[in-house]
Parts: sequence; C-alpha cells; structure tokens
Amino acid sequence: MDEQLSLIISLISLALSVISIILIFYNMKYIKINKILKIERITKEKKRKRRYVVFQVISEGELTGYDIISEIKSIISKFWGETRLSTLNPSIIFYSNRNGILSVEKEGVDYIIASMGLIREIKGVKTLIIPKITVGTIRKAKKLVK
Amino acid sequence: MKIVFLELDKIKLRDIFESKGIKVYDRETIEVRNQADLRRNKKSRLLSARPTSINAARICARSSFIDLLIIDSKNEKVFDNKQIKLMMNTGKGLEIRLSFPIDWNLIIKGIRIGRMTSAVITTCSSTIWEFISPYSTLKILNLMGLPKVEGITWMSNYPLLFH
Repeated sequence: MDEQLSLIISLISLALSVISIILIFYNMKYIKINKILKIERITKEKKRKRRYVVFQVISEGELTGYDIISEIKSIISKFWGETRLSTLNPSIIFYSNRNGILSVEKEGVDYIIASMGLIREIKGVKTLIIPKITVGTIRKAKKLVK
Repeated sequence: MKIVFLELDKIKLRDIFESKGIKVYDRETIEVRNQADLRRNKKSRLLSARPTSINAARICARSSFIDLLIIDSKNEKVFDNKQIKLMMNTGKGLEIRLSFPIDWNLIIKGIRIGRMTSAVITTCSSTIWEFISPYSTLKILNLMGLPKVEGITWMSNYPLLFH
C-alpha cells in the first residue's frame, strides 16, 4: 500500500510541475521573465538602403571599372579616413562605353559624389568623372545609362 | 543622357542673347595692388578684383567699380573681420575659387564669409581637365557644413543680384 501511495504522489507532483511549466510559458508576457533574468531581446537588424549613382567618364585613355573604384576608394580614405570608407562600402555594378553605375550606402552618397569631383588622373591618364544623377533602384539606373 | 563639352564663340552668343532681349555683360578680372589699378571706365562690364594686400582689399570694398572680390588660397589672410563688415555694408559679393590642390581651410573660411555677405563659387578652370562638375561642388560644400538650398543659390548667383 505504501509503495502505491508514494507512486501516486510522485505522479501527481510530476503532473503539477508540467502544468506549472506550461502555464509559465503561456503567461510569459505578464510575468516578463526577460526583464527578471535581464535577457536582451534579439531584434532584427533593418536592411540598409543603397543608392545608385550614374556617372560618365571623360579620359584621354581607356580605363576599367576596377581602376575607377580603386581611385575613388583611395580618395575617400585620403580625405575622410578608412573608417568612413568601410561604412560606405562602394562598389561598381555596371561599366561599359565610359558610362557606369556605382552603388553605395544611403548615408555615403555625398562622400562618393564629392570624391568623384576630386579625381584628376588615374594611372597617369588624365580623367574626369562626372556624376549625373542618383537613383534608388538598379532598374532605373540602367534605363538612364542606355 | 550624355554630357558633351562645346567650344562656343562669345560674339555669336552675345548676338543670340541680345536678339532675345537679354543684356549681356563682359566680365573682367583684375589684380589690385593700389588705387591706381581701379581707374577704369565701367561700361557694360563686370569687374572682379583679386586684392593682394589688406590696403587693396579695403579700397576694393569701398570702390563702386568693383562687383566681386576674389578669395583663393593665396590671398586668404586679407579677409579679416573688418573687411567682411565693410563688404556687408557696401554690398560686395565674394567669389570663392576652388582650384587644385583643394584648400579645405579656404572652403571653410569662404563659407563663413559667404553666409554673411553673398557668394559665388567657381572652379576658375581654363581647360576641361581643371573642371569640377556642379553636382560634386555642391556636395563638397554640403560636406563642409553649407545647407543644400544655400549651396544651389551659390552655384547660380551672379553679381547684379547682390545690389
């Protein structure tokens, strides 16, 4: 009889503990365990918006897209520093027939366009980079290039 | 959308503008060392002066012949506080020259003076390779602390608006 009683009591205690755990999970918002345990809520990072700069190159010789982006990066790092360059993250998307599209973080459009005006020569070739317009989508930018 | 550079004949341009009823002014730049340099007759001509000393700058600010005073990296020290006040009283404009290599201190000082008086910004380019596009110039000014709207007016200002 004693063994049976102890078994029943243990089963009841198990059932109670399971019910209490379920109740706690259901009423999480009222109990606010996160605050009690000081657990920081993990939030999703917002997707960073990018802008697309359409530009035209006037030069005595022929240049590649890589030459242009490397020169722009060197000018940004020279005038505004390496840290600024890392936040801007500029890259060339399209370049042909002396017309191109450059993508950059939304906050860095001013820096990119200003640095385009400061370029005088690339690899010993006299060059001018003229920014035309900034747009929000690649589709629009490609339409403008054509 | 393509950008093309054209060489234009000034006389032909004058004829085109005058046929449409627009008055055309010639612009001349002089370097002022003393008062004798200012004795010129002003007939349909805008005079912009580049003072080389403080005395010359004071004379230019008072003279009625001069419309614009040029500031560049070499005569930057000429423009002190009294000079700026004098320019404000007489209604003289300031021309900021952005030439290579770019002097950032000059831009900061130019913006400070230009916001008190009135200013025009130029690249003073004689060849294509010295040219800075207006979009880039505007962004350079914005990065140095000038608001966008004010920057656009600086790009399109002309001296007759100042009076």
